[in-house]
Amino acid sequence: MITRRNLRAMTTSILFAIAICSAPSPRAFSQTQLIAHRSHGGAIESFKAGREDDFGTSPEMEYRMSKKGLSIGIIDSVIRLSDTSAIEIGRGTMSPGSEARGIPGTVRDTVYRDHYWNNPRIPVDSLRKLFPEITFIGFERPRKHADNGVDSDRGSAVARDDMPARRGDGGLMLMALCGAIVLPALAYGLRRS
Amino acid sequence: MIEEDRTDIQRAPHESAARSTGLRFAILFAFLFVITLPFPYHLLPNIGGYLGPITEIEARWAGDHLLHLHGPYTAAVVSDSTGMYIHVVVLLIISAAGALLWSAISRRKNHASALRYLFHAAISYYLSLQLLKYGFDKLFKYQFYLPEPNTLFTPVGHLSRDILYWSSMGSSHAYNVLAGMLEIIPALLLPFRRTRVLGAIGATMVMVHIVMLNFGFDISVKLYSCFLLFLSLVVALPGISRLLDLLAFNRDAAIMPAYPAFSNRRNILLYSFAKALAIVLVVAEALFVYVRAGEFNDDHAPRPFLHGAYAVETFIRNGDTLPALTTDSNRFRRIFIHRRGYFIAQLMNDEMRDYRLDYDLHHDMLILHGNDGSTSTFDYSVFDRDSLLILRGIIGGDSLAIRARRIDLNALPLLQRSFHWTIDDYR
Repeated sequence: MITRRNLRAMTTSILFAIAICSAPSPRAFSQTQLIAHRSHGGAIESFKAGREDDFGTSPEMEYRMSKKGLSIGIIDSVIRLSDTSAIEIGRGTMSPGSEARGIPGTVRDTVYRDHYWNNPRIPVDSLRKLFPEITFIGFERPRKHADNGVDSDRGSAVARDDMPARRGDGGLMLMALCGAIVLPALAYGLRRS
Repeated sequence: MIEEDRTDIQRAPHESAARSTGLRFAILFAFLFVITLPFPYHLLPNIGGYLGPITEIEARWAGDHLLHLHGPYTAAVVSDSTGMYIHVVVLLIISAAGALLWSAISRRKNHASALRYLFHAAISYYLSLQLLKYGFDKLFKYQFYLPEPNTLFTPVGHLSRDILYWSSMGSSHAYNVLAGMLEIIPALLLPFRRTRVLGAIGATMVMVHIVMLNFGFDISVKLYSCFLLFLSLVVALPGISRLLDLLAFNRDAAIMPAYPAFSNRRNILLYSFAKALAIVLVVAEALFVYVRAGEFNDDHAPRPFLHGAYAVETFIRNGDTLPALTTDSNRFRRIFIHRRGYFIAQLMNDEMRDYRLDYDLHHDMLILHGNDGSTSTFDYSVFDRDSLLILRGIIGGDSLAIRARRIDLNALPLLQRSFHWTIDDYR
């Protein structure tokens, strides 16, 4: 039997679970360990099962989700040159999908239309939260976007279609999707009452 | 007023002791399995990961002292490890004992239906989450990715069935979208009472297919897919029996009781709010990684530097140019750069040698780590105009100089985006 008191307890439990869920957890990703091993031609004799597995879901998320793994290893600072370009300054070697092994020396890489560094939808404060170990230079100045699609920083016309491609629209999509679920559910609940 | 406080949910018929105990066993087993499974969540806490050291000790102890297993085995609870099988047996025993104890001490005899409702609701949300995760993985082409260059050049007879299946699936975007939708649709039906059983029947059909694939192609997610099939069946069984009544036995299908039937506005609001939050959490968890990565088609995701396949044109070892003889088991035939950071050499006899790869872009060097712990370095030069890659370095004590030309993977028949309505279109 579910009483009002039980229902309150249930709701509190769900809210508590959601609060816990908002905490980040360490994780690593791959396909099943065996398929990941076979994918790079690894012989079965050299297969060693690790402690982390993902039961056949998405591969390579760790470097997909980490900017550091995509270009030059450990990034120390990023200099924003314009709305469409930036310089990454770091050290060490790049090791996609694995821990970067740093060696002395500075590495520079100029990137264009980067998802993070040149995304007008991501303010510098958010970048600092995402990448607390990186120093951001040249991000403070106000970004100028004329309505006619001219990138006034460079003084040249840049077509809007050239701006950071569809990446980043996912956040808006996710919010819209969540709203589309929550609002009808609440409306349904109210109507039922 | 008193009535409102006492009963907010319809009472259900009394259940037999055996059924109640069975239900408690299923609840305990499902709960313990889910909570101890180290599944890689993005927003939800990976409690199984935190419990990993404990479950590993438990599996190791049971394997060594109860089962007397000989030889090395994987005690960690990962997909289809020996440790996972042992862990599941331990959970079955604990759940059976727990269910008997629960039944013995439980004084309330009339709460089985409410318990069943809550159990069905909980596993429906869990199933929904898992189906959404795997469904979006397929929809966005993350699970079955484009075959890696070295897989494309491995003779089919040399591939194991799991990687062959993975690669076949990865070559068809359209089929991935379809397969993903077949998982997403039941997942979206499961959280809602009105459509839950329908969603569970759909999920059961999907899971039967997945279990068959995992067993048929020897994919190492057998145990977990069986567990998801078990959950699907638990929710779907009432609907399946009603369908059989209607379609096979030619009799009226029983009306299923609707739980929970709340009688006051406050409880309905609370229930709706909690449900909406749970659904948002499930959807957010399932979509988080794609939104975070900003990639919705893995086929177009960026690949690492030099990723691809290269045909070796010239191979000089210790100052001697080796001819491309198929009997030579030392000469490289092709070189591959794998997206997860591997340098793979295909020898003339088709044998593959894989090395963990690090890039030192500052010094134009590739650093190769062998499975035996050795480290080698190659200086590289890239000539984009001619698609040439020049490597110079020492590996296994031999001085190597290699000239290789990039192979256009998009020209391979497997990666053609062509579609033919008729056999004449192939010409």
